[in-house]
Amino acid sequence: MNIVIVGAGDVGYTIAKNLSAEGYDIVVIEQNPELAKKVENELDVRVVTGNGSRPAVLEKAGITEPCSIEYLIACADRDEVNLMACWQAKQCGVKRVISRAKAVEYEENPHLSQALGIDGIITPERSVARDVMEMLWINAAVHTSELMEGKAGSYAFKVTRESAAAGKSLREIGAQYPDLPFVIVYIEHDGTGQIPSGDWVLEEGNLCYIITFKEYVLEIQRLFFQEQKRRKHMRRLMVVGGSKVGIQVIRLLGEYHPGVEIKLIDKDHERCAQIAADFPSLTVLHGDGTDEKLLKYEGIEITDGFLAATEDEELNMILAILAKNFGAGKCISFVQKEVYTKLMHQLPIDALVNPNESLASMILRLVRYPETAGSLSLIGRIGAEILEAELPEDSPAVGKTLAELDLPKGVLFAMVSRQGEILMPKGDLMLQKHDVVLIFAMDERMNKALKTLGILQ
Amino acid sequence: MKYTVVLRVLGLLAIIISLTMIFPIIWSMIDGTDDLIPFLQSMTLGIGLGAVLILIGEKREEYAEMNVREAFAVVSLAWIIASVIGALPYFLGEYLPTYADSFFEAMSGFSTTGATVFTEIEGNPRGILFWRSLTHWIGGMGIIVLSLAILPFIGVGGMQLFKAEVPGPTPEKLTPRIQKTALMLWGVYVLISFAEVIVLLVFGMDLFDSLTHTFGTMATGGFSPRNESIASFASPAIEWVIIFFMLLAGTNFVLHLLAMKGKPSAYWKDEEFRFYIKFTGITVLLVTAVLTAHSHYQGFETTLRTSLFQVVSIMTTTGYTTTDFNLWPQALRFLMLLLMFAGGCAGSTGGSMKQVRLLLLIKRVRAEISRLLHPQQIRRVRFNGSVLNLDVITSVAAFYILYMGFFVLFSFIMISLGLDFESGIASVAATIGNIGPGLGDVGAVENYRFIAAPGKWLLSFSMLLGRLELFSVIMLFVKGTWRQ
Repeated sequence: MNIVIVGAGDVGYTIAKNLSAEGYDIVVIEQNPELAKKVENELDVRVVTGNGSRPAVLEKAGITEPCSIEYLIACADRDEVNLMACWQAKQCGVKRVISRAKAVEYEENPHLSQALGIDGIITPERSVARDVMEMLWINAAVHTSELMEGKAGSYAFKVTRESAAAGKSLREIGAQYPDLPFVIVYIEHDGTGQIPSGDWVLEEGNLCYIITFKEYVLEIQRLFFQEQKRRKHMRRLMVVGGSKVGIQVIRLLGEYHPGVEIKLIDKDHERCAQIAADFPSLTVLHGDGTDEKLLKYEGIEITDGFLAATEDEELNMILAILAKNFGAGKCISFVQKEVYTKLMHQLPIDALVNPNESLASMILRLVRYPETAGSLSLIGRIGAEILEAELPEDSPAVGKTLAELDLPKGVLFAMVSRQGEILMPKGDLMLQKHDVVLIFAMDERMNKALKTLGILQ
Repeated sequence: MKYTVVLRVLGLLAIIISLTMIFPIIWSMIDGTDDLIPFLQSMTLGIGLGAVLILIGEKREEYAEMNVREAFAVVSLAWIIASVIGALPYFLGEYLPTYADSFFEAMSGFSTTGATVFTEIEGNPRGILFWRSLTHWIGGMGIIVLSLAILPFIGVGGMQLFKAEVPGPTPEKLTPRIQKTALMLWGVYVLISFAEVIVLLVFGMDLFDSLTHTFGTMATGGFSPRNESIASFASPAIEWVIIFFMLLAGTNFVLHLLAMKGKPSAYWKDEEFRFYIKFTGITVLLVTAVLTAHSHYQGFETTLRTSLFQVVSIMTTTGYTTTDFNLWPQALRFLMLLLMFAGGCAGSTGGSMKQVRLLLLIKRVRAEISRLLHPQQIRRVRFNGSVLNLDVITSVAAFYILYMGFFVLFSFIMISLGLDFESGIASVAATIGNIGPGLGDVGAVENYRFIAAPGKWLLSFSMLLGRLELFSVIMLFVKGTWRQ
């Protein structure tokens, strides 16, 4: 299958790398000659240097009539370029075109993109904002992502010393809390990680990736995390930087947790004025997020949550470290580059969130998996994916127990849902048709797993 | 440098090269000649060497990615290993007296130079002669490009390898997958070669001659199983056919591919191709005029054909001859020496400097002159419609300087080894440019046998430098390449 990708920034690069490794033939269009060279050297793809909105450049990439390209994925930095590229590709007969959009309005008004023939327009801010809100609300989580339309999620908890789980093996915990439906799919420790066996003994500092249902999260949190008396619930939040994703978090919090008191600091006066007009209940402060006096005056040491959401990712990390240092509760920073999320353990920050990761996973799902598949969640830091999919009637797995299934190494079932009922993935569980399964897979092994299950041909 | 990756790929290549000996073995078996045993021994040794390399490289570490360093090492070492193995049949069968001679002959074959150390070519078994020509054909499109085409797993590092082997300042990937690009290039190469074999058969060559001469032409090599090269056929028709196919071999294969896909206009749209044709035309006119003035040959057709043949042969770096141009007027002899620095187009099988580099240098010099007139002018060099990055021009200039540097240095060494002025210079120009015949003692009807062993090793090295366009080979001598 031939795919053209416009833009080789972080998102474009991630998508190109993943799809090329899976056997798709990729052409990448990139304007910046240095980036183009980098992609050409590092990936087995063809690179066309030029502006992806120009017909001559698209033609060089093979977008002409008649056209043998199945997908065009536009993830350049500018919406105009993306939309132009998509529109032209559709005119030339590219089967499906997918675009990233920075402006949230496009996702809100699907008729605009439909008029251009765009099959999917993706803005990650909203889903990222939801994850961040979750993380602010669930104290111990350093990573969250939604699964099964918000009913379930994957969470990463770090085990603390005095917690109930520390010093116990996974089997013991399972026996002790039989009513808690959760699966630990991965444990990170001392810079490495693996899929744990039942004999794994949890220790302080283990980072557990857990898949569970929303209503049990707070209960499960208690297992791994010894609660502090203060800050049981988030009451005060400070946000520095009124970027799009920051504003989305504020909007969502206002919707779901209206009791939270939010303060926003931004350098730009105009922007402050605009935000103040849009969110009357918000305390908008015009100032520098690194201004110690301002932070202290506004009570940084008693805020329960701190969100660094400026457009400058390096500054964000510094801001979050500063806030932590001044005594703020949970400090989260937005970054753009995948490599920074690898620093999470080294920095005194609670979480680093990369919106590009969500964007890449949303686009990849559209290309890779059948329409029946549900949400895909990508955990770039450990190179894992979680996909929700329904077992078709002719699946070879139907009628087999989990123990009988010959799944590739590094792949496991995280949860099975049958007609709304949740089943824990025990070895003797017999799979039935139309079961919705959550599959956790390491290192690009998802495809193989789906083929084994008959979900992908 | 990740040695294990390098060793593994080299091992595979050694096995591939050894396996190609099956073809000369077929000829030996048909003829029942005594070269069968040396071929079987060489093949076994080659496969053994490959297996050992793979075994050493097979340590724990998963298939690691190939980076620039590994790519340079793999490409240069692959050509050396190919020649080491390729020399075995000559040496083990005692067709050549020393290993230095055998290595020279093998390197000359793979690098498509066509300089020979055989004093008497006819009379050798056909298996050996076929092997000589086959090495040309394999080397023409490239050992690495061949392996990229048939070893799918090289994938990611492939582009690095491709760039390190394929001639020209800016090698281009035609398809998303490097494997497919390599397959397409080899496909075009095989198709045109097939066409030439058919045409030569039609004009009266036997199968053996048409195959070996096709290998020599399409690879711009120059080995012929005949002592007198193409002249021995005394057939104007065959000469015209070979002129035509030498011109094709000297053209960028991407253009052939586009033409086969129904876009023959691609030829004329290409700036380098236009330059190449004009360059050839003007040179031929000049040579024909001088030869006519000296009444060197009888009749216009003969004069035109003879000058066209030698000019195209030297310029595309093939090295076939139909006349001894060493006997031409002095001015033309010098012109032939100059032509050795021209070369074919980028992406062709030809060697030497390449047309595109000459064209870009001319353009750049023009821009410099114009800037002297208008000191504040900003002028960019365009090629095929798009503006060229200054990086490309700089690396072309660096290539030129380095090429000339090696030429001067090696010429000095060759003359120190006892060659006369003219032969010394020509021997280096003819080997670094992958042409074959030079002037004087290494002229069209002579051979390289008389040169002392150190001279042969140096010229072998010079052929390798020329085929891989200097930089890939030089990287072997840079300390940073070997750092762990």
